Amino acid sequence: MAKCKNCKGEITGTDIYCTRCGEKIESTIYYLSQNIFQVILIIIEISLVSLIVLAIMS
Amino acid sequence: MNNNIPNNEQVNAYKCIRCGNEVAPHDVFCCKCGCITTYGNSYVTWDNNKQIIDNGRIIKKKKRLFAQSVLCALMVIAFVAICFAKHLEFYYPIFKFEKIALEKINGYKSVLTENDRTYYGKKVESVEEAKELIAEDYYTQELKCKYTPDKDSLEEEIEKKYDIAAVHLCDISDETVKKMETVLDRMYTLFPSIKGYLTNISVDNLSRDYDGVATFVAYYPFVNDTLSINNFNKVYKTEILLNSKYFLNDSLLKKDTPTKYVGGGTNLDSLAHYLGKYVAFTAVIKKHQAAEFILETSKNTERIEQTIKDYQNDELYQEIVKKSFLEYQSQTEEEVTFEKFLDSISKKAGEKIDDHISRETIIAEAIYDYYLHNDKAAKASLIIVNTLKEYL
Repeated sequence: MAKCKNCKGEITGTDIYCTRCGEKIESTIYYLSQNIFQVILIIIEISLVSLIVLAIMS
Repeated sequence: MNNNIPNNEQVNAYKCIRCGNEVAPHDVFCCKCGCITTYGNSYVTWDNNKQIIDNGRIIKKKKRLFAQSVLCALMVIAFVAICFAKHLEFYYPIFKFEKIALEKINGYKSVLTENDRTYYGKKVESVEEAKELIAEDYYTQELKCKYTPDKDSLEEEIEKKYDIAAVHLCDISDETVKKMETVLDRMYTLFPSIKGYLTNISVDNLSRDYDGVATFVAYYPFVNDTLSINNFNKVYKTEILLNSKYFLNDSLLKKDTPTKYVGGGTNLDSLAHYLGKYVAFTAVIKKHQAAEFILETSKNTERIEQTIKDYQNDELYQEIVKKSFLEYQSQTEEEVTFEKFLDSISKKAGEKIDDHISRETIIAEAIYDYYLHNDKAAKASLIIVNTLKEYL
């Protein structure tokens, strides 16, 4: 049985939305790209924060 | 949990209020349109989610991503704002990291400044403008270096005293700069007519295999190199590049010079060898009356080309060495070979590279000998220096 990526609730193949949390069910590629995008955003944010801190300190 | 939650029989009769799709007894959301069901409406009771429930959907992940994107955008704006506010100083930490990485790669203290930049399409009409361009090239790289007020004033003093467009002693300690100044002072005292042809003294990460403390670059095409001289004047740099391996590592600089050089000096003193090459080059400039060697225009292009050709072919240097050798022979009773003549100066003077003995090195070694020992230098060195002085 497939599971919702958001709440881990059980979903069937025909479901468009999760019946437990209401999250739209997307393809695996969609979730993968979303996760990659999130990681990139986190890296950018960390680099920017460190650069800003260093710039203020220097 | 809410006490008003409908039982299984009650919810069975419910359909989705938006799309009419049949929903299972305990479905909180419709599987077709994502709208909250009647059961779901009763099930979710906490106030924080009221707004989400009213909208009929809960989109947790997408909201997180959106919030993160907004945060990232705000940071970029802050970054750009600080960039503008702090201008180049903002990059200082980046340079610091870059320098640490470079030093790890090279295995010794290194500099980030570049000496091989070239510019094209610039209109340069006078020697002063050319000198300003050279100085500006280093000024834009100042943040890559450590500076102290003392060193700033020392650099300025050297620039003014010896008429050098840019003295950029990036990261070199104040103490070393002062010692270096004494070498320069002695050289310019011994050869006062060399003033005004050197464009810059800067630090460079020379090749790892290179064992000299510095290198002399007679002409480096700096501005408009490949452009037609009829449209654009060209600027050449005549420079002394100090090897960061020695000048940023004081312990190496204090050591005695390798035995192949003229003996009696430290590595710092051997800077005089490279200044000696500069002294010799000024003789070439003077021979071709190319006083404004820094700036090639359509008027002086012929003289500058002749100077470069002479330097490349060792023409004047050969003449000086030959003349000196003959003089040396005439002053010595026993017969002397050319090799013996060179060996009397130093091993470096007679060093063969690709089966060729560099005349420039012979003269530089003779000058270095003269710098170290003055009138007590080898007879061959004194004769070479005296012959060279005739051309200065």
